[in-house]
Amino acid sequence: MSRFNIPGFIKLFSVTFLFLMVSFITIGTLTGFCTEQEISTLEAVEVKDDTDEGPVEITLSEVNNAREVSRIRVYGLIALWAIIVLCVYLVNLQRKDDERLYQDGYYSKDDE
Amino acid sequence: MINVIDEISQRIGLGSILSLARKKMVPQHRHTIWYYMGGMLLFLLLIQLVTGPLLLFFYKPSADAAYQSVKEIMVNVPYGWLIRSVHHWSSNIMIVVVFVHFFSTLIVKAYRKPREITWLTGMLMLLLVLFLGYSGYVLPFDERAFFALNVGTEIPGAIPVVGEYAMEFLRGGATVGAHTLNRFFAMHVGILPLALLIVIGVHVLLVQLHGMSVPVSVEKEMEKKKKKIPYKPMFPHLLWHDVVNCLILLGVVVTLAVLMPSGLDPDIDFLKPAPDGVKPDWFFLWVYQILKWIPTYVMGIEGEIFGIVVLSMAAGFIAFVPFVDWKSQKNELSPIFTFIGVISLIVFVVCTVIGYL
Amino acid sequence: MKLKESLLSRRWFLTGLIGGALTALTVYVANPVVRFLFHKKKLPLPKAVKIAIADIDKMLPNSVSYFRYGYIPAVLLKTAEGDLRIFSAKCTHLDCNVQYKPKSKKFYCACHDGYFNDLGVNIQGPPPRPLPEFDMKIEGEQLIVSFDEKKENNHV
Repeated sequence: MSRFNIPGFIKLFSVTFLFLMVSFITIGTLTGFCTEQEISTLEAVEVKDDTDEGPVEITLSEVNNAREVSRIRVYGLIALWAIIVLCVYLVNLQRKDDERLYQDGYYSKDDE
Repeated sequence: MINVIDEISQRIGLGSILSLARKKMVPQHRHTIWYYMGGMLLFLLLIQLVTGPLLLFFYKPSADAAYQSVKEIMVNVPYGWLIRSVHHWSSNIMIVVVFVHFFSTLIVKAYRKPREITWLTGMLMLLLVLFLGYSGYVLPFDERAFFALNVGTEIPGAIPVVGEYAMEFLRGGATVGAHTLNRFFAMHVGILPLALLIVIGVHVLLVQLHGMSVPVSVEKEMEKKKKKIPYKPMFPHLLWHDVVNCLILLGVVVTLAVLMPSGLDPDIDFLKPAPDGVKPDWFFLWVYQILKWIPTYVMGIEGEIFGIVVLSMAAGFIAFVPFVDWKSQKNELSPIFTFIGVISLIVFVVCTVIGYL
Repeated sequence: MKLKESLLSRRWFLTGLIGGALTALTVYVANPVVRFLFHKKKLPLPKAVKIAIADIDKMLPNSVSYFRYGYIPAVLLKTAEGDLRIFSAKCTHLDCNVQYKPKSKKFYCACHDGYFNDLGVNIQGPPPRPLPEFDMKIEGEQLIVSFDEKKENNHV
C-alpha cells in the first residue's frame, strides 16, 4: 500500500472536486437564472364598494389615545411590582444566608 | 443528580473562568455604591438590545414611511406603545446612569494609574451613548426630529477646518433630507451599537483585570487607622446586589413607560417655522444653554464657533485628565481635581435645569 | 408524621423559590414581547376585479395571461375551444408561480417539477392540491372575477 501515494491522491481529488463545484456553481449561476420569460399580462381593476375605506391614515389623536394610561395598564404595572418585590425579598434572604455562610468559612473551602 | 454547570464547563472550558470569578473580591467602603453603576448600565443596554430589534421589525427607515410606521407601532401593533416607551425611557435612564458613572469616576479619581485606558474607553462610550440617544430620537422623522437634525448637524459645521466635511458626512449631503434619515438609521441600528459592544468588551475586560479601584481618601483613612479595607466576594454576594438593582431598575423603566408613554409630534412641514420653546433633548440642554449665553461675537470670532471650540477643549481636558492629574498618578490626594470634578457636575446640572425651564 | 430530617435543604428550597419567582417574572415580561412579535395581520383581498373583454379577445387560443388579484398572482387560461378558466398562479406545493405549456396543455411548476392539467388538477410531482379556482361572470364589456376563500381547495 505504501506504493500508492495516498496523500497525493487525496490532494488530487480534493482539487478536482473544488474545481468542478466552483465551475458548476459559476456557470449555473450565469446561465440558470437568466432566462428571460416573456409573459402576457392583463390589466385588472379592483372593484371598490362605497363601504371600502382603502388604506386608513392613522391620526395623531389615535396615537394619543393609544398612550392613555388605562386602568388595566396600572393593574399590570402593580402586578409587575408585586413580582419584583417578591423576587427582591427572596434574593435578599439568599444573600443574607450566603453572607452568613461566608462568615462561617464555607466559601473558602470551594477554592480548588 | 447532574450538575448542569459542571457538564457545560467541561465542554467549553468554563473551569478557569469560574475559578477566576470565585476569586473576584470587591472592596467595601463608603464609596462602594458607585461600583454598581456599571452593572446597571449593562442591564439597561440589554433592555435596549431586546426592545430595539423588536421595534426594527416594524419600523420602516425611509423618509416617506418612517412616520407612518411609528404610528402603526403605537396604535396597531399589540404592546407596540409599551416596547417603544420602554426603549425610550430605558435610553433616558441609561444616559442618566452614564453621567452618574462618569461624574462619580471623575470625582473619586478611579482613572488614576493603571486605569487610564479604562477611563479613555469610558469617555468613548459616553460619546457613543449620547450619539445613540440623539440618533434614536430623530428616527420617527416627525417635526421635532426634523429640527433636531437641522440644528444638531449644523453645530459640527461650526468647527473650524473640518466642520463642513463633518456636517456633510452627518447629513449625507448639503441639506437634511431622506438621505439623512438613512444615515442616522444606519448609525443608530448598526454602526454605533457594534462600536459600543466592542468598546464595552475592552472596558469590562480591563475592569476585571485591574479590579475595583479604591479612592485615595479611603486608602489613606484605613492606613491611619491601621486597618485593612474589608473585601466581599463578588459571587454570590454582590451578584445578588446587582440582581436586586437590575430588578428595581426594570420596575422603574416599565413604570415610566406605562405612566408616561412616548409621544409623537406632528408630521414634518418644510415650510413651518420652528415652534416656540423648541429645545434639544434633555441630555444636550447643557450645551444648548451654554451656547445661548455666549454673545454673538467674541473677540472677533463667531460666538458659536468660540463656544464649540471652548467646549471641545474642556471635553478634551476632561478626557485626558488621568494624564494631567499628576497627584493622583502618585496615589496622593488631589483636591484641585476633585474641585474641578465637582464644578463640572454643578455646571452640568445647573445648565440642564436652566435650559429646561 | 413529622420527619426528623427535611427532604429538602433550606438552601435548595430558597434557590427553588427564587428560580420560580424569576421564571414568573420572565414569563410576565415575555408575554408582551411575544404578543408584539406574533400579531397576525390578515391582508385584505379585493371583493372582485374587472378585466376588459377586449383584452381577453386579443389572446390567442390555448394561451394564458397573468393578472393581479390583490396579493394573489392569477392566471387566465383561454383554451383551444375558447373557454376561460382562471386559477391562482401559485403552485400549491411551495408557492412558486406556474407556467403554461401549450403543447401538452399542462401547467408546469419549474421549482420542483410539478404538473397540473388544464382544469387545475395536480397530476404529477409534489403539488398536494389542485390550483385554487376563481369565479367569473360577464357584465357587459367586463369580466368580473372573484375569489371565494371558503370554497374547497381555495386556501391561499
